[in-house]
Amino acid sequence: MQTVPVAQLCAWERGPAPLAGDPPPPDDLIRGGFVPPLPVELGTPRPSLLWGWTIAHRAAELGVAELKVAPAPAEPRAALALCLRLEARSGRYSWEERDALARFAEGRGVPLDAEISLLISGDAGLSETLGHYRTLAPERRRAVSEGAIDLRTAMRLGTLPDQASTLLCAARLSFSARRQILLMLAEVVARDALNTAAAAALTDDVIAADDPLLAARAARMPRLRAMERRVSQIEAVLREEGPFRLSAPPGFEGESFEFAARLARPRDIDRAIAALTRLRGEADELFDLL
Amino acid sequence: MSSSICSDAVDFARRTISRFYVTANALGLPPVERARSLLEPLCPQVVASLEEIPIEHRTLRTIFVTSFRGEPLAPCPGTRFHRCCNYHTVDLYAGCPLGCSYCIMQSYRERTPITVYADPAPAIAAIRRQALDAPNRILRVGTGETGDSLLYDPLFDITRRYITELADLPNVHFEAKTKTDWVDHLLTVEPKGNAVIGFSLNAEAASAEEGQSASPARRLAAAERVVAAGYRVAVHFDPLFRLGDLKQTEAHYASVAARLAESVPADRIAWISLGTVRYPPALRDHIRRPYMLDEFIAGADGKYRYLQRERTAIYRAVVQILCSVLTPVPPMYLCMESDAVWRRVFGTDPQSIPALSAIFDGAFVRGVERTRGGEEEG
Repeated sequence: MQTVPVAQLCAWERGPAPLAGDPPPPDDLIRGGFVPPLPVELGTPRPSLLWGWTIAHRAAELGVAELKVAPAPAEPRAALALCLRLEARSGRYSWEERDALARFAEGRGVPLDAEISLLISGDAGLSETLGHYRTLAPERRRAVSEGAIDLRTAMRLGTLPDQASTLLCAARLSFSARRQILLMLAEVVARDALNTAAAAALTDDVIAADDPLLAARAARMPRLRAMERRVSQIEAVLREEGPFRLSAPPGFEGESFEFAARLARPRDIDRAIAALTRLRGEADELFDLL
Repeated sequence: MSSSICSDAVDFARRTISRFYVTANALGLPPVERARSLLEPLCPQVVASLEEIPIEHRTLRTIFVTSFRGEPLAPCPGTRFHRCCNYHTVDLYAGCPLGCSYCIMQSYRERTPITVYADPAPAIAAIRRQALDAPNRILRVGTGETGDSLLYDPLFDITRRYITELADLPNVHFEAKTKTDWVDHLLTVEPKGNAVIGFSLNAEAASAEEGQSASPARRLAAAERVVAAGYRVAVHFDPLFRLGDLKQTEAHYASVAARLAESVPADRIAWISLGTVRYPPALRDHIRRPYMLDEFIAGADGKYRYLQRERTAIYRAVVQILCSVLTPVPPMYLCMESDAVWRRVFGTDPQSIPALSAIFDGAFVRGVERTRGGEEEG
């Protein structure tokens, strides 16, 4: 371990951006020297600060004269592992940062083995997932990188035109709703072989709907949606007699519908009978839905 | 070697198997010796267990032969909240490289080699024990649950032992189920007892979903050969696909049903099972085929199936077709279906069937006859 003037440190080469040590620790800790020794490579032509240059930068702003440094392990893999441990953001790097770290590792001949992968992405599969990320079209990669959609969803969007996915990524939707809508629209586009203009028009309609998720589902499952609409229409007829409810089994899987009536006075019984009589007229069509 | 060797099957094995591992306890077993000679120059490597096989070799291009696994006989796991057909399974060949797009094994047999349980003695003993304990109860048992029963059987010739060593038990119906036409090594097996050779059948239009499986025509030709040799056959229309609208779907399956009727006398069909395409959520991302763009709904067991109304219509259509071309009507049943669908297809409440083993006493035929007459409850 040795001490190096901060001004000198700030002029050294820097490690990759995701290893900046950002945000730096509280000022008092920097002033008091309560920061780990910064790992450095003292090679030629210029020494480099592998990790923690934001700490050095902040120290300079605070007027701290010197910081402790320690030579990084000579073996590149061990040096990278040390820096990743000091950064301590396993699983919290953005996709761009993961990509940058992977390129840094690759540049130094460090394989993305299970340990390095774990230190970066929090799981052992970085090599595979990064491969998928890198093969995404630029628009999708940007959406993943910005957190608008997850990688798995991006990989499943198939032939959904970029225009449609860009519209959806810009729409005010929850992450979960956006993900579901994108997947459903991608399937509709594939099923109906929609061209770019038709896909964009469908996306516009979905986004403009009162309930975009329901609108996307109606496009993806038109026959199921038609069945649901039919039950709602029949229920509306019953409601003309009173506050009665008619429900299909979940997903129309089952044998029976549920008819619910609240009876508070004798007259309600007559209304329920009238509703059921009207329902009798729809019975064949209703039970044919199951 | 006593049986004829199907050269197609051996060629397939040589083409698709690149590594051969065997546990010490299986070395010297006749099936292993037979496969070793047929796969030459591929040499088996001895390992203590599956775990000793390098992880990069645990693929469907590797064959792993061991003696037998812990539980030799088990009821078919079925699926929650759906009717089970009281079938029993034994593991003989686990894993399959045929590559059917809908294969459920894709969700749980990743990174696993094709596994062969080369010593059938424990399973045969377990089947015998169960059959003798309940001599009045039909025991249907098959090897086609975790893999194709006959894909590698010409290589190992293990099915022969199941057939001959269970032949004296009148209540055992042993089934070898396949999507191949590699049956010739079994034609001369004696005695056959109640052994059944089961064929999955599908419409020609669904062939693209069945990878390297034999064409329906070849399977039917194989069915013809096994029937001529004295076996009964089982037919599994599973999975049934929606192939266009209902009329088009009907036409596709009517065609294969007609060819079935031409190939196999109806009284030699032990049973017919029907099941529409289904998949667990874990398979959703694996299957990238056009049929996945149809409308599926999660059932009570979590598996996705066509809308109940639509699969009921498919079942009813296929049952009607089969009833119109097969006389006498063989027993038919639905695989992993709900009570609601059973009633809508067969007009029969499965709860009222005393025991599912009774299906082979005619309960299902009665249901079929009701549908045939156009009668429908509910």
